[in-house]
Amino acid sequence: MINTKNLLASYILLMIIHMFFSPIALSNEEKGLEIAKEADRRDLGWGASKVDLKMVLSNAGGETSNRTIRISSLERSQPGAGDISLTIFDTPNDVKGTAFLSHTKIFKPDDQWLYLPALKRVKRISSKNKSGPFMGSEFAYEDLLSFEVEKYNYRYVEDVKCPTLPGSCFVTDRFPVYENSGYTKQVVWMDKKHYRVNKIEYYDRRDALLKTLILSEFKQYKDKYWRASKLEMSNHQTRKSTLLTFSNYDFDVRLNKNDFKPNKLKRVR
Amino acid sequence: MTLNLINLKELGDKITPHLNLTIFVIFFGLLSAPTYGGALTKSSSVGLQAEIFYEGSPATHRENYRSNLSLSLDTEIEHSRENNKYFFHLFGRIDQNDSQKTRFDIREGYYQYLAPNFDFTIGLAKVFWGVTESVHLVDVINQIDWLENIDGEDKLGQPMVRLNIFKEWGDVSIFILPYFRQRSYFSQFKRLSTVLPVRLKAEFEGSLNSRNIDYAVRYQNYFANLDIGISHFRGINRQPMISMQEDKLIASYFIVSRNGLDIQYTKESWLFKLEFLNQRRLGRTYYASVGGVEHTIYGLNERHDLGLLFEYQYDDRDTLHLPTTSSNDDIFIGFRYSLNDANDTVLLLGGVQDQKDQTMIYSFEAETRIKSNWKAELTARAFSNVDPKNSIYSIFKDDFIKLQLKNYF
Repeated sequence: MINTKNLLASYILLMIIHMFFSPIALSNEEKGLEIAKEADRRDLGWGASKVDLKMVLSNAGGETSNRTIRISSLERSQPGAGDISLTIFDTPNDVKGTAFLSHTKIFKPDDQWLYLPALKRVKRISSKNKSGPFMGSEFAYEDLLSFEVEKYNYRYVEDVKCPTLPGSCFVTDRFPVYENSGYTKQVVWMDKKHYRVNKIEYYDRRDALLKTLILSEFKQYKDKYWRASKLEMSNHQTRKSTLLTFSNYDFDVRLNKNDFKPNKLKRVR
Repeated sequence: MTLNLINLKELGDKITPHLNLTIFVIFFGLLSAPTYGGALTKSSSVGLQAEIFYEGSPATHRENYRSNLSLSLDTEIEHSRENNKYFFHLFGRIDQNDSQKTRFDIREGYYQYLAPNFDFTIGLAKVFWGVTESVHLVDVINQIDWLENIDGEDKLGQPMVRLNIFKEWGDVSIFILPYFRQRSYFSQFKRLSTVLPVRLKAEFEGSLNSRNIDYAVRYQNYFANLDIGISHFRGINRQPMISMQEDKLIASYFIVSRNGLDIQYTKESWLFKLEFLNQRRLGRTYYASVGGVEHTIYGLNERHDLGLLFEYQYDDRDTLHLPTTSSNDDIFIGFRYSLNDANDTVLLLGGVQDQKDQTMIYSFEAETRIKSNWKAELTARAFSNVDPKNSIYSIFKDDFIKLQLKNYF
């Protein structure tokens, strides 16, 4: 005979075993968030970096226009603070020496300043223009800002073979929660092995597919941080595209907050 | 072709052949200097300008040429090595009609030592202070170069010794300005000149001269959405008093003490701007201010931006003690339309109206890049309803369109 007490005891035991050993069924929202957090965690601690960037803008007719810029970035980890970046324009020649400084914040508007070398003027500018084109390219300002987990809501979709990377990828929908985004949704393909973003599809405010970004030629720096060398953005509505080629990544550069003061834009060289 | 256009006699009067030769040897020597190491950068541009004036001036003796061609050359050379930077900006222009505009100038030429928390500069340099668009009240270090642009945005290099200090509590700049550069004016009877010619030799108050040592200090910082600058200047006022003597105008320079405050508050797509100036001369104090808003509407036509600007200019000076100004009770309204295209096309339309005498100045500017190394700029200015007492009266028939094509190499 099985008495009630034993039954209850074995039932509780079973519950405990179940709690510890059975996989917890995460909702797709939770799983999407976990993937984003893991990707963010793997990219923590890079500190500061410098990189050279070449942009090639192509229109539907195949005409191209080039820009070369240099970007210095500083990681910030305190709550609410995004990273800081300083962008210096080297070509086209008529904008040579122009510099753009952005103190990114996660929920509040970013602090941004522009340096105009012909006038020697540093101008604080509005950062509301998240969805506007960066230097006339198919990249919006928001596409180039640092990734912060809190900026999106997530929903895991499925696992598939990666678009261009080897192995399989998580596919996650993410929904911007920061203000003034030009997107309702982004679909992100991220490889399961290293949590590298391989592809992003951007959906506009009308929920139509606007752009596709393919990231390729990944390199690992400091044995930890993966960076794509090529980013190709195609706009499906205008048939224009922009190719970014990053080179000379330097993660050993010593930079601190003091190097990113607006007044120091005047000494950019 | 261009050499036929310039008045060689006037050019010869202006700079002696010897100096002329030296300047051009230096200029072209620098242009062709070999690039060594990775730290030397050089960029140059040549610009062709065509100006068209629609009307003849009623002033007697005024030359009423309707078009003017002009050729300019700019070269910037920067050499950086560790904490040291050398920078030169050389400029030359050949103008068809106005010998004053035909000249060579070292726009900038300085050495700078850059440390993490300070920098030190010695040489000819340019500085900009302030936040507003329609008038730059607190910006005082450099002399304005009228000959390049009557909007006052072009400046002459100022000889200086400058120390910038960067601290947690803000940035401080200290300037010693050992030499004063006079304002340049258009040649007598040429387009955009004053009705009467300005005598070439300027006068200075008392025992003052160009070698007077002026000084200035500035504090600058930002707190969240607020950018703030406080400045003090004591020295020769960059704008002279203009007085009539027989058939000529005399520019006389004097000492002034100026305190400036500039503030910008940035909120979403709104910029709120204020500049405030207090000037002291001969025991009298005068106040001037300019303030306004700039609002930008983003994403028109998917990717265009429209900036709307409004500013009010006020000045309580009396013209016995300070030079006359047109920005004493004026409203400025401006529109900036950016296409955000691959050619960075921008259109600007602005108007300033004097509230006392209703004088209007209209301005239109458009610029775009052509290919990767050409830039086209169109500028138009029109003066309407000009009151005979307004300081711009002498140019009220000088409405013009200027087209500039610049090639960067």
